[in-house]
Parts: sequence; structure tokens; C-alpha cells
Amino acid sequence: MLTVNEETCVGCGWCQTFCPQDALHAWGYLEIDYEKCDECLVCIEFCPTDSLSMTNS
Amino acid sequence: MKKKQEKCDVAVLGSGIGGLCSAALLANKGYETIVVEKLPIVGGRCATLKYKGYKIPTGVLGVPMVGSFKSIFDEVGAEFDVTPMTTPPKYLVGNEIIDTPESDQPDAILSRLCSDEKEIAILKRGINKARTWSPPSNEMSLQDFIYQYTRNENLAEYYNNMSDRILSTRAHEVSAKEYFQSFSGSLKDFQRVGFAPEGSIALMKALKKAIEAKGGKVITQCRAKKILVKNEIAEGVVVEGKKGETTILANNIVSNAGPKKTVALAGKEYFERGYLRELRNMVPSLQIWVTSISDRPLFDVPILYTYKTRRLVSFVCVSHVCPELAPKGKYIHYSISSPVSQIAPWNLKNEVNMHIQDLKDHLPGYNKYGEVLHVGCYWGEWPTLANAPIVGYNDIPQKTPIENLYNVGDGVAKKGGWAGGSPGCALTAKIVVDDIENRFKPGQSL
Amino acid sequence: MGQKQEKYDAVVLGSGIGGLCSAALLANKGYKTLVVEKLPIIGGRCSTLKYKGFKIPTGVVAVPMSGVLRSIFDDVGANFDVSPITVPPKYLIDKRIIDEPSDGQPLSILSRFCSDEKEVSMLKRGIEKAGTWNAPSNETTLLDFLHQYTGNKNIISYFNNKCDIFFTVGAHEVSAREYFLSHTGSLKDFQPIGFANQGSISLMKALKKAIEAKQGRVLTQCRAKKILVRNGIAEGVVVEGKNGETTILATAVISNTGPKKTVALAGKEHFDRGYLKQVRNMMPSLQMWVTTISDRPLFDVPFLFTLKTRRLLTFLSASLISTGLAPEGKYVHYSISGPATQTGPWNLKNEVNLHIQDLKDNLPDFNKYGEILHVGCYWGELPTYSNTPIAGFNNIPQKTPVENLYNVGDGVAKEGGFSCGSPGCALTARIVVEDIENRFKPGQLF
Repeated sequence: MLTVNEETCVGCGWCQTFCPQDALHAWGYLEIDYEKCDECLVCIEFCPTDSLSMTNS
Repeated sequence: MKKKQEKCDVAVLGSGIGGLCSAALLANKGYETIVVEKLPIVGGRCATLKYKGYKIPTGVLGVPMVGSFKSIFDEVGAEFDVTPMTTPPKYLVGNEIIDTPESDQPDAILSRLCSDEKEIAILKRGINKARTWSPPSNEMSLQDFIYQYTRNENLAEYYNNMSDRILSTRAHEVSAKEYFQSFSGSLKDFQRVGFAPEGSIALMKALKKAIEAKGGKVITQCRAKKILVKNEIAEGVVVEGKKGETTILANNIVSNAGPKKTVALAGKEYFERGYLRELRNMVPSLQIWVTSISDRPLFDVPILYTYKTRRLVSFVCVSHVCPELAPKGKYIHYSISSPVSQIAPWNLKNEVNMHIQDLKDHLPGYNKYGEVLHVGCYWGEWPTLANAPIVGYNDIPQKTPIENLYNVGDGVAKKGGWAGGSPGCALTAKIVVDDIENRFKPGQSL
Repeated sequence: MGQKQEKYDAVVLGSGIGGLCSAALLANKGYKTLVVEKLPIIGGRCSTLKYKGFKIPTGVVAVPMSGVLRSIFDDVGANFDVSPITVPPKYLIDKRIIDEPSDGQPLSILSRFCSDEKEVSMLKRGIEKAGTWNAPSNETTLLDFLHQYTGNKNIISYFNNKCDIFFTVGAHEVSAREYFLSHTGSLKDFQPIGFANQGSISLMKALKKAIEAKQGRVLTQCRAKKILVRNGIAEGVVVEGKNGETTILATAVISNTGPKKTVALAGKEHFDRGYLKQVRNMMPSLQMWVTTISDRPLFDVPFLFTLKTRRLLTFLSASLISTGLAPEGKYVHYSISGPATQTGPWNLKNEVNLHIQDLKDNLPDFNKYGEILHVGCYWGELPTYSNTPIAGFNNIPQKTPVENLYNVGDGVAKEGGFSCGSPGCALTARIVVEDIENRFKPGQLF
């Protein structure tokens, strides 16, 4: 499951622009639409602050 | 398992303006140069995001068309694809548009903000003195400086907007010294300003091309893991790319990762306490970038400066200059805001909402035709300015306490070099490359 | 009673090195210049007291024979009557005398204090780096810097002595940055070093003569009462001389009275808070000068540095170089001490007693043949340094917030210019005169 580290995420919104599924929405904080997310990992690659990761469960 | 090893003259960590400018200058002078960038794209806060057919800046928007940044492109033969802005800005005070010829600014704006000619004359005299005689102390805020001459809130607001725009810090916090020094420093480079039609990333790609043309390498998705230090001399960097870990041995390391990250990469045991204390005092600043789109221009000139708003400081109708940034028939706009205080805590969601509320309340037509496409916040580890010039701040030198390890970028800007970001970053690259040239020749090993 | 009024291009308050150097340079360039000095003698802390046939310095003893001070004498055609010292200094540590090695390598002396070659070579390497790579932070003390490499007590006492002599402040307080910058700054001017044959005041008298030869005036017993400021611009000064008060109108006012006194003379309402804060943070330093006389030399070389004593730093056998300082057949010696800390409180009587006790304990011939002639303490309002370069100190700019009002002297020395006083003071005069030249021509009123 895609997880955002709220301590380090600044809300730059980069991930939103790279997400092929349009599953991410930045508004100061990042919101993840798990219905749309297909865990393609692109957002993790493009995150400048290393705040996104994939966790189990 | 044997680790891979490479050698070069200079390893550059990070592909922001400071990093790519350093690398391009060095490669052009014959230094074997490798740039590593952890992300898949180059440019850092001078990149461009593509989203639904629109182009969104990550930091640099207005590009200075003269001065240190531009001169690096000329020197290394990189294409500088920037369309100049020819229409002067307009001003929005509350809900009133002030349309005034550029030659009359800022006098016309000031007299619109305050009708007391005498008060304006006193203030202008003080400002003039700060620019021609001596800038005020670094221990003084711009607001304190203004209050020497006037308590008129409208006049103060003019400078508030100005310092927020150029230094991402409002008048009550910004160093009056840095504010005034920037007029003879980096702001001069904005005498001619333009926008990159393919987004600011195109400029960074042009530098990358120039580096590669001279045999240099720019490797993306390659993350610096550790700066290697022996006897207080930097001797290389361990990076992790798509194919695993590599050790790059280099005579010089140029870090564009920001001074704090540089310390973390090398290990803080190599840095003296005084230096670490200066870094601890660095305050990174926050700015919020909202991208709005529409089927028609939301304003008639490229730049609108907004006064007496809650948060909003400027609104950029960039499609007037570069229609290429939006799909055909569509218009793209960027608006910028900062919190009231860069030091106090803030609620990011509130800050975003107030920015958008300002758009709705102050920009005629926004409610009917405008639509928010994207919200980007830059702060903390991914800041607008890594070392905001707040009253009493230190400027950190480019050279670190570790020999042959340099920082470049906005965290180590020179006095007078903060305003507008890009020229100051380019200048740090020039300073560092000059120093490397004086110390080493290409291919010369220690 | 109508007040007298006079007009000048520049009026200089105080006749120390900064004041007279500025005035001499200005008069030489055709500026109508007046110097006012409240005391009956000129020179301030570069003066000489005559007492029972002996000459006692008020601050400057060792005179730099090259660099900025010397160049001013050459520029204005003033006589520079100084005899060079050709004998290398000696060091007294633990009752042993150590000679300066004659290999010309400034750091080779370290091996004489510490036999652990490895420790010495590590330290040498660190010092070299601070000189050739980058000076440490202003927030780091020299002791912290040294502790990175060594804990050797003898070596530390060597540096403690050096920086106490250069900066009047021990290694545990001094800014490591200023220590290292001074080696490429003002210390360079002390190659070679000399003593003025007729006392340092003769140099100041030579400048006075040069000023008068160019129609400038130097008035003694003429005290500045008030610096006149209108609209934030200095326009003159009210002085009180032997014939009562006079108002002197001047385009530029140069104060050699120290930044604090300058503020008091102009009125602190004309200065911004940040500037006042920087001035408030200035720390004046204490040094004690003991003059000892005898019928024979008490030591065989002009310069003896005393390490690991209670207070004593150096013992100067000046008569070995300049015979004009004592009556025929007599010898004069100067010894200098500072308190263990410049920031803590001290008991002045104790400090003097410890100094004299050090002389008795460390110089075998002192008890037999020496006699104390005079004890002088310089601190507070008549300090040794008015802005001691303690870690974290600010350097105050020469330009004040009041337009056309400049400071010169050791209170406004530049980075790298604090060491040993005189060259740094002369440099402030050069900087100010250059700025005046850029701003107006002789006889040109604003």
C-alpha cells in the first residue's frame, strides 16, 4: 500500500503530475485515492523528499 | 562482491541551477565531470512538471535575461530559449487595478497607495539613502527600516509585497541589508526578464546537453549515499544508481544538495561546531504555487502584483508571453503566496485555502472562468529558499570545512544574491568553478 | 553672541591613526580638511609619553614597515622614521628559552614545543588548510579549532600567546576566522617590523606636517561637542576649543572617536536599532603596559614571547633597536599583559600585580637590575581594541547610518584587519577616503 510520510512530505505536488492513474491530489497535504492507485511506483521515483513508500498490509 | 569504481575530476551532487551551471562551466574548461541526480528528471527547483497537457514550474518562472545566469549559457554554448516579457506589470490594490506606465513606477504606485506627498517624499529619501549611501544593518528588519519614515500601512504594504516576491519573506522578518543589497546584486539581472516557452526545464536540459557535448555525464536516478572524506579531504562519493552502488573518486565534490544535506552525506564529525551552528540557524522558506487554467485569459497582462490581500503576492498570466505552456486555446496562470511569518508555525491547508480564497475574492472573472489545476508547496526539506535572509541570518560560504568539498545553490548565496533565486545560484557556481580552476588543472591528481 | 562658523570639505574628529591617515590622504588630494583633537597631544593610542627622560608608548610599539600604513606615508610624503628589527624573536616557556628556527618556515617552531611529530604534523596540516582552503567559521574559537588536532599544552600556550598579542584576547575567546584571515590580512604588513626611533608619536607628527603642508589644519585641545545632522545627513560638527565654540560645516564628517562615541555625538535617534545593537555588542579589550628601565639590557633580543606565565605575554627590549627611547646609557623595556578573559570581570590591581610578579619570576635580571617606571592600563573608554574579535563578533561598517558620516579606526576594522591595530586602522582610512572621492570632488558642496 502506498504510504506518505507526513513528517517529510511538503506538498509540492510533483507526484500528482506523474501519476498515470490520477490517484494523487496535493492541497498542502497529499491525499491518496486508493481506489485508483495501482501501485505502479512512479510517484515514489519522482518524490523529491523521499516521502512516499510502499508498505505491506 | 566487488564494488564498481569510477574516477573523474569533479563529481556534482544534484542537478539544480547551481549543480548544472558548475558542471557545464567545468566540462567546458576540460574537467571530467559527472553529475548525479537522484530524481528521474533534472532541474530541481528549476524544472517543469507536465500535467494534463499543461506545464507547471517547480520554482523558477521569471528568467533573468542578463547577468550571471545568462552569461553561463553564452560561455558554454547552451541554448537559452526564453521569450522576453515586453508588457509592464500591473498592480491590484484591494480590488482596484492600477495601470501605470513602467517609467512611472514605483512612484505612481506609491502615490496611489498614499496621498500624503510629504510622507512619501520622506520615505523615498530614506530608501534612496539606503541604496546610494549604505544599506542598513543585517540586524534590522525591512519593516523597522520603513517605520523610521512612515507608519502608513499602505506604504508599508508596498515593501511587504516586494520583499515577499523577491525574498519569499515579509518585511517584518527580512533583513533590511539583504533587501537593499539585492538591488545592486541579483535583482539587476531581472532588468530584462522572460519566460521559457518549453518551461524552465528546457534551460536545464540545454545545460545537460552542453555538459554531454564536452564528454561530461549527467546521470539521473542516481542517488548520493555518502561523501568520502579522508584526512579532512573529500575524495569521492558513493552513489547508488539503477545498477547498484558505485564509488566515484573525484578531486572535487560540488554539492547542490543544500548545506545541511551535504553535512549529513559527509558525516557531521568532519565539521566544526561553529559551522554546524550557522547551518542550524538556516531557516528554509515556504511558498505556495497554485496553477490555474481557463479557456480565456483571466487577466490582460502577464504579471499582476497583488496588494492588501490575505496571502497572494502575484498572479502571472504566462500564456500572454508563452502560449506553448498550455494546450491550444487554453490559458495557464501561476499565482504565488507565502505565509505571513516564515518563522512561526503555519497550517498548510489554511495557507492553501487562503491563497485560493484570495484568487476568488480579488481577481475579477476567476470564479466564473478559472479552475485550480495544481497546488505545489515548497518548504522544509524541499524549500523555496534554503537559507531565507531573515534578520540576523548568516550567509554560509561555498567552501565547506572539508577540503575540496563545495556547496552551490541558494543555501550558499552571496550577500545581495538571494533575490529571485536563479542569478544567486548561478553566481555560486561561478565562484566555485573559479576556485577549482585556481586549485586544480583538468586531470591533475593530488 | 554670534557663533563662529567655518567651512571645510571634511572634518575629522580625533587624531589617532585612522583620523590622521584619512586627513593626510584627503588633504593630499586637495580636500580642505580639518582635524580636531580634544587632547593637547595627537596620536591617541599611537602616541608617546615622555617621562623622566624615557619614552613610553600609548599603544603602538611595533610598527609594520610595509603595507597599507607605510603606503599612506609614501603617498602623502610623510617621513617614516622607523628602524627595522632584524633579530628573530625568542620564546620563554617553562624557564627554557626557545629560538625561532631560521628555516623561514612559520610553522616549524611547533616542533620545538612538542616532540610528538605525528601530533605536530596533523596540526600543521589543519593550519595549512585554514589558510589555503577556507578559514573556519566566525562562530568557532581558535581553541576549539586547535582542539580538533591537539590537546598539547605547550602548543596551545604558543597560540594563546600569539593571539593574545595579535588580538588582545586568548584562544578560548578569539574568532578562529579572524585569526586565520589576519595572516593574509593585516599581519602581512609586519614584514619587516620596526620601532619608531623617536616613539610612535613622531609618525603621527609627520602626518600632521603633511596635512599642514597641504593647507589642512590639525587643532589640538579642541573637543567635538556635537555632530550636526539634518534629514539623516551629517552637515558639520560643533567644536569647543580654546577660543570657545565654533560650528564647522563640512561635506563629510569622519569620526576617529570610536563608533559608540560617534553615536553619542550625533544623537542615537539618527541610528537604526540593528546598528545600535551591533555597536552595543562591541567588546572593548584591556591590555596592561609596564615600562621597565635599567642601566643594562635585561634581555639579549628585542622580542621575547613569554608562554605559560600567569599574565605576561611579551617583553620588548626596545632600546636594542631604537636608542632614542631612553637617555644615553639607559635602557627601556616594555612588557604587555592581558587578563585571562576579556569577557569576564577582572580586578585591575590584581592584574597589574600578576604582571609584575611574572616579570620577577621569569626574567632573572629583572630583580637585580630592573626598575618599574610606569604602568598603563587601556580598557573601557580608552581601550586597547574597541571591537575585540571575539567568536561571533560583528564587524561594523565604516559608513554609519547617517549619510556622509564615517567612522575610522580599530572599531570599524575590516575582516582580517583586527590584528595588531595599526594596519587595520590605516586601511579604514583608505576605504573611507576612496568612498569620499567617489562621492564628491574637493570644494563641491552637495
